[in-house]
Amino acid sequence: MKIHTTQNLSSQTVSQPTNITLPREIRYTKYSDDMHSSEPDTSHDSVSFKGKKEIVDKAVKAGKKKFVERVADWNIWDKMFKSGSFSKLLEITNKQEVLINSGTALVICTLLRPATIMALPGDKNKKDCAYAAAHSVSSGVWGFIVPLIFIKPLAKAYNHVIDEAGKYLRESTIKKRWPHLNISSIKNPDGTIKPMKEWKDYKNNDFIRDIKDVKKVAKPKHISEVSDKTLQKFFTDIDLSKTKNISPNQWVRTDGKKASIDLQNVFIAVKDVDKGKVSYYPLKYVKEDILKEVYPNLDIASTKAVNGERLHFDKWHTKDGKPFEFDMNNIFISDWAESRLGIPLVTGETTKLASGEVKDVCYQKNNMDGELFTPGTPITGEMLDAASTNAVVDKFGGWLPDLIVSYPRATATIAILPFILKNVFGIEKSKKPEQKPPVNLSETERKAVS
Amino acid sequence: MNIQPLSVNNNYKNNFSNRTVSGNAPANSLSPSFKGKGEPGKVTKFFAKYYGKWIADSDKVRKFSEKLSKMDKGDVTRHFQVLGSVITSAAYMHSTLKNKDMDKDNALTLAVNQGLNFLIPTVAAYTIDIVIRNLIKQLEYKYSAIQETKISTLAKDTRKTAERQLSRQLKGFRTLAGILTFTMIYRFITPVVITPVANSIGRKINEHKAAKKAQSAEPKFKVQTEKKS
Repeated sequence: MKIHTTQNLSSQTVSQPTNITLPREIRYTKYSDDMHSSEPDTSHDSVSFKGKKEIVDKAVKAGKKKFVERVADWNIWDKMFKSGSFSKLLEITNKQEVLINSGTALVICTLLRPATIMALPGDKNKKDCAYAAAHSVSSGVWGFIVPLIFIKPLAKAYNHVIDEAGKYLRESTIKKRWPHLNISSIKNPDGTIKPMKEWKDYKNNDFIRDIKDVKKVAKPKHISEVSDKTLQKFFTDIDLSKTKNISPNQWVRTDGKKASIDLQNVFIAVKDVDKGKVSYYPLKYVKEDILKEVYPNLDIASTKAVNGERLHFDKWHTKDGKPFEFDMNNIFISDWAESRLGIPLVTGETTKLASGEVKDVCYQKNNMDGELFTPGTPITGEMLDAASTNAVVDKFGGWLPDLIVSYPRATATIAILPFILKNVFGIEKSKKPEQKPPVNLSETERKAVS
Repeated sequence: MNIQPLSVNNNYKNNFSNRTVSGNAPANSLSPSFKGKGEPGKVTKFFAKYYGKWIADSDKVRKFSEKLSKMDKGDVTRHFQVLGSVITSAAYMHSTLKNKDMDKDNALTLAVNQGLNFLIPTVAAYTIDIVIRNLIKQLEYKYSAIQETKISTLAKDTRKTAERQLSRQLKGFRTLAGILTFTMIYRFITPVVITPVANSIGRKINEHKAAKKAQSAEPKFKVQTEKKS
């Protein structure tokens, strides 16, 4: 495996080269240029793993993204996203998407479309415009009433089945649906089904039925970029006056001792040179393979306690037994007060899907206990495949009744709406003028046609 | 795999003084809803037993869904919207072609028009969906970060509930984006922009047909005029 290692060799206090053997080319990565110019790693969102082939594509995307990022930065989104009503709307959408679909159509058909029809100049007369607007309103209302009466109860019933899966579904279906579930945890000793919130997964963590409920962290920021307040939060008793224009390796506490940070809060940023992809790994949980690659002179055995847990880097050794001097310039901090971007927590573990595609393993949010960076249950390829299938089955549950009534609803719209508009509201289309004979006929021909 | 840890060099030291006194994202309080779910009614239980269970427990539905999910890993809501639109358009076309009050040629033109009124918006909707995919992802990240910021300020016991709530909201976010795109195209852009264009094309086709019909009738007229003269 070819590795390009970048260390801050210009750091004034740490003689990093003593820790690192440099068998290959050393690359200097200027963080401020390199990180900010690179595209935020969107690949994490879909828990996907971008390979070598993605480089050109990503470069193209990076060009487009600037505009997208500018649009995403508009204040209107902040206002909307902070609103409780918007969050409520999203929850309803998740449960009743057919109803939300009809509701959206209702708003368009009763407000936006009639207003546009009446406002737009055209060759239609006023009566026809009024008829078109009235038809739009009535079709919107009709299109909303049908799902409200007939489809909402069915979608609600389907959701109830999933909520009470233990009661309604066969054990074989449950196993297929949630391959991470510890099936023996769903029953009480007397054979009765436990409530879903008491179920456990194969890691004995709390069972999460939404497989892709991925643990996200605030996009880490370099320690030199974070606010004083955040520094004080992560570095106990840090002397802030001695952090300005000074390398983090020289930061001290108010008592003059070297400033220290809990391993739990340290992230390192690793760039895949071939792919141009930057990943942030929590130092406490990053896989050994990654550590070996980025710190080739590190004695991996020295990083582990007897119980296998990773020790603080102050206790690490180089392969030749000398203390490993960790470059504090490598530290990135993840804190929601510092970043408006959430990224999934990854540790360098990968998984293979049934399609053969390799993806970064993300983790569920089920092992939190207040510790923000504790990975939960790893989301394996098998789980991802099951999640994709579940999503389609669930959509069927909601949409099937709507699809079934689509045809009769459309037929009824054609037959009933003009009748109602005419006989109840007295609105009808103006009658078409009698068809004139084609203009390019001679007088005699016109007479013949008529 | 070529990987490298990122650190800073001396040039970056200048950024050290750029740190602000407070972070850029203010923490907000969040009041997650803890409303308990009411006991489902008889209707819900009835449909759960005879409809919900039938779908969720069916091996055939699962196998079919598995095949579909391999074709598209994204949110499939938009495909269901398109399927609904196919059925609706088919209903309109069928009823047009069956209409006895309409001239056969006119009915056919109108049916083709109705078919195009499905086809063009569908292509447009899928195209727009692809174009704005990145924006939607960015906005989802933004929404997620705002909510996570709120959640991080919560007490440990309420955090779990809020996290579950966020998970449902994020699923809703992706679905809502698809619904808004496709519904906007089908229910607004189509009748306001595409239909008038399709109508005008249809009218021209009809006029062209009428002119052709008249031309084919031309010799007959000539014979009649000759006889008269």
